Amino acid sequence: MGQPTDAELLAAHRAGDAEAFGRLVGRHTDRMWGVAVRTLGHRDDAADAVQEALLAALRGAGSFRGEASVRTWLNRIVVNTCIDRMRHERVRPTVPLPPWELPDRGADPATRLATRMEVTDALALLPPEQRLAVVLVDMEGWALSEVAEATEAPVGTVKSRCARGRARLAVLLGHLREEVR
Amino acid sequence: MNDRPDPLPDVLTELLADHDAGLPVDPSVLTGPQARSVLHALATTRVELAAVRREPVPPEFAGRWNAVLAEAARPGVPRSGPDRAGEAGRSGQPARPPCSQPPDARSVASAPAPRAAGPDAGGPAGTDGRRPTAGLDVDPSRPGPGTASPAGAEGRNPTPGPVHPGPPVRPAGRPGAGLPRPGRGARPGDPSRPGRMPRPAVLAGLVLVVVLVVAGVVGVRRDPPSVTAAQLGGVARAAVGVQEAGPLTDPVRREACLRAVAAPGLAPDAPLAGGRSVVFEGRPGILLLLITGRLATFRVVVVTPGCDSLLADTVVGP
Repeated sequence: MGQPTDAELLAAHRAGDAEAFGRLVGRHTDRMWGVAVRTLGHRDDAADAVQEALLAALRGAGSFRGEASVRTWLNRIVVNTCIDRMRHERVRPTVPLPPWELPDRGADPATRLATRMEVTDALALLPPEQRLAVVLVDMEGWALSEVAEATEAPVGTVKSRCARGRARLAVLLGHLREEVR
Repeated sequence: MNDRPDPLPDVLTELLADHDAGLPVDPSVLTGPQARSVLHALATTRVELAAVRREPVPPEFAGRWNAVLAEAARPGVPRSGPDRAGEAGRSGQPARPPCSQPPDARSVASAPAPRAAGPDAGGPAGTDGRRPTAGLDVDPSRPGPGTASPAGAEGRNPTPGPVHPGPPVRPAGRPGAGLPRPGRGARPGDPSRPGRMPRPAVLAGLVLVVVLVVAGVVGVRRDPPSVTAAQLGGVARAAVGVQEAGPLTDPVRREACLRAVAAPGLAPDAPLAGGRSVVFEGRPGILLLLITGRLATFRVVVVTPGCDSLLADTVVGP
């Protein structure tokens, strides 16, 4: 037969299957990591956030009622964890991210590096809700409805946050410098 | 700069960004002279954001999460009942354990899976019917320095690699609990023990033996568990965080050992998630649980104590 569904793995975990939870969250850690590392902008913070989210999921697995999908439930946990951390974050020195973060365009490494630093730094200047919306929609490719569900905000609010975030990023990244000034 | 004092571009940009995001705006906004370039800039921004590749999960972090989850879900860890777990599950709001610190086994282990509480506790491995903790020597109440006890778990570092064992476990009860109390029975004139006189040296020795036994020094139940190939996965999972691999707890010695046995495809410097002495298929060995970088997946090897041969090599996990 095929692979068990997320819901089946969760049920197996609740029934005492020692491996089920690891298998379940193993399907989602890439996405959780992506959200965390991009919104928090720092690998160690992101790792802490994912760990916190995973433990929260483990603790909450028994009381999860299945009203939403497991994916949505995990999305909400990691998003809340990241929002919480963003709200408490302090200015910290920029730490160069690994080459994975280089934008996949252009051939000039210097241009890539400069662009990458701008994206990272520019994102960090956005308010948490705008940053999160832009990261989830434009970088992680989440559907608006998915972001709305995870952030418990109306779709229109998500659109507005994306709009504000993109407008500011367009200026910060230099695409609107000529127009604005 | 000053030759273009028009303050509208910011507002215009925001309105156009609203339009770009799918929000309704006054159509007149779209006919302005700057609309096209602003919309182009917004589109360029979106493309640029989408082009930033996501860094894969670093193996060291995956290993850390792996170990922390395995530790938190370990059946032998005491569960404190319904605390904040319910809140996290209902609202999606995670409780806030400091991840930079070791997870609090008492709260973390309040995972709802009922395996440690009900009659089926222990799952399939518990079919021996002796005790619900799956037949492995993972009894959390077992005393002894560095064993996988609840107290040790609380002090354990969640990061991969050498995991610092907790301090030697103190006996849960009073050292003398359950023993003949020196002041009774030995009391002169006690009719129930007419011939037994208190002897301070004997009593002191008795107390010392009790303390040593409770502390695990004497070696009660210290024999390595016998493990068959079929049981290896279960034993290995129970060894997460256990630091009983002797000299192989040391990363340098372990790496040398793993190079010597040359397990195919195994990185000799793989971080250790746990280890212990075992008797594998009748032969003494040391079980090593190694972090693979994949969530909930461990490489398990059993080597002879002298590292002259590989007794078992498998992967456990999803």
